[in-house]
Amino acid sequence: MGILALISPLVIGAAIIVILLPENSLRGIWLILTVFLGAGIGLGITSSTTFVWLGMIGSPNMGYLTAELSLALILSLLAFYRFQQSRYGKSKDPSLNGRENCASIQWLKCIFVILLVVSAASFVIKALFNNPHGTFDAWTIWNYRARWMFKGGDQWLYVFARVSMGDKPDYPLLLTGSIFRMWKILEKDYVAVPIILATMFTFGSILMLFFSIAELRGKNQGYLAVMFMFISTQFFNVGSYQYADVPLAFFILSTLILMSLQDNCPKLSVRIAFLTGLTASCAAWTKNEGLLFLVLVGLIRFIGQLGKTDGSKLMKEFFSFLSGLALVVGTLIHFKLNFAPANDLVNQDNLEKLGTYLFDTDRYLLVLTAILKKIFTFNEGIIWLMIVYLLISGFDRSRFPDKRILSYLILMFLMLCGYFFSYLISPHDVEWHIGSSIRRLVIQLWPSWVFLFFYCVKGPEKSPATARDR
Amino acid sequence: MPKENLKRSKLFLEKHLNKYFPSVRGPVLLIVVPAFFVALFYFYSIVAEIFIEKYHQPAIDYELRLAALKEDLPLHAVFNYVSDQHEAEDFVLVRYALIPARPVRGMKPKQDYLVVQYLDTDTIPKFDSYFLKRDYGNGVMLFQRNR
Repeated sequence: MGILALISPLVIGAAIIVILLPENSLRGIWLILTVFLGAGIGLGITSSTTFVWLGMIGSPNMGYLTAELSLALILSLLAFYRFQQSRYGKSKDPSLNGRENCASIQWLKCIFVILLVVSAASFVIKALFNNPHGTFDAWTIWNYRARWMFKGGDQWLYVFARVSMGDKPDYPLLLTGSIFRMWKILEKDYVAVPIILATMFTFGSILMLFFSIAELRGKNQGYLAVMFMFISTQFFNVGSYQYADVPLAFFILSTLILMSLQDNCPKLSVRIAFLTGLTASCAAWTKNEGLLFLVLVGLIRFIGQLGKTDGSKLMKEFFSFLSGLALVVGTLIHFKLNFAPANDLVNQDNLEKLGTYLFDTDRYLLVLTAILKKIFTFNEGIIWLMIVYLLISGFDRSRFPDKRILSYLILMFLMLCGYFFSYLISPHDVEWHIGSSIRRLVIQLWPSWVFLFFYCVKGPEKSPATARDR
Repeated sequence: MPKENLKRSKLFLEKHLNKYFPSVRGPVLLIVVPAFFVALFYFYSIVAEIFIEKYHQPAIDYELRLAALKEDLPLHAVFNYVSDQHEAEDFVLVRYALIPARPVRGMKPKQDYLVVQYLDTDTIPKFDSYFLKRDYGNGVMLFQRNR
């Protein structure tokens, strides 16, 4: 039963990817996408269904598990059929544009593998022996709520009571729901469950970053991007704390990757838009910041493109995107309307003070200075390494003319603006609020910034054509 | 003069980099070298913290310390909680460890059960209208209200 709890989300998510991308999803490094993105969206879907079942029928029982496994089986059969269909040439392989097909630099690959193993070992040791229950937010929000759902019996709704200031009962339930679901199936609240999820999302982000850069820019650039993440030890720390910031970072990164795959492979764009909808909705189902991300993706991806591209294709993509997000966003709306209390930042009292905050120029300066200070000192000033690398290496200018890189940069910038305004209207002491949360907000966007950075900068090869195995 | 020195240094570096890393551009080492040392140092610092300094998050201690108490508290009991620990995480960890029982910080309003955690105090405290039901010997005590 335990293994079913673990693999059923993976099977559901991976089957959806194979159904949508039967030509690519099971070959080479695309397996990384199928396995890790599949697990991520599978967790998003199963945490939604678990919560809906809990809210409407009662604690998930054998009936729930049967329904979930039936869904996994049906999707697997469909995926198998689609895969067979694509193998026998009914559909051609639409490969990506702009990929640099150069040989792997062997020493770079060796260092990548060694550091991946060392980082994974560091993470697992830290998670198992130092933080098996996570740290502060895990005890007050994520694992706390999962434990209430699991042990609370008929009083599980107490999970939505705000008892002390640190409680966030209005936060969405992807992580909490996934932990609860597995505990319920295993019938015990094993600490291994949140650890497995933390490991999946942390290394899923790392490997998704590798996949995307390797697919879009070549493997050598992919190795380099992941090595840059190994310097970002804060990302691994926050991952091992079992916070939802790393899962959110995973979904934001995945959405950005899928958007860039859409742009590089127009033939698949309508199908990939469905996955983009799924990942963006999973981001919103993970943390409230994900809601902002979901809205911005819709604005930038579709409203911003009106009139610039083929209208009918854009509409098809838009409907595909909406279908992708329907299930998880539907659950999120059900949760927000029927269970979640008011948010501590966005509520009636705070909105009444909005005018005062918005016209206070000193507050703008205070927030901006504090945020910039934290960003430039994040992870011992790793951003300076990025700047120096960019100055010496330079941009790969061939990327800019026909790709929508600028729209991804605007998306990330608007996310930062959203964070800025949430601090600006914060009812808490601003300096305390920024100091206690900005590092986690940077973590949410960090893999996406690294992805955009290595997507745009020149590759490690002196010349792609002359690169040879060494 | 400084320009010439810079050019000479650049040529020197390029020559040596070409010798050892003929296929990659120099800036790559700006990432590979720190990544190599940071990842190894990170591994060492974690191993040292856990196995040499024996440091771990306090949640493990709370889970162990309160395990016996958890068996004695009725399911869904609401209880008062008094402690000599002043960190913000103390209450949060007790609350987390004892789910589905619910602690009320302090003595008001009075509940049927009172949990005391005196880790830095040797004496057994006395509380008006409560009697000691069980002392767990690790600083944790369970009191019950007199009827």
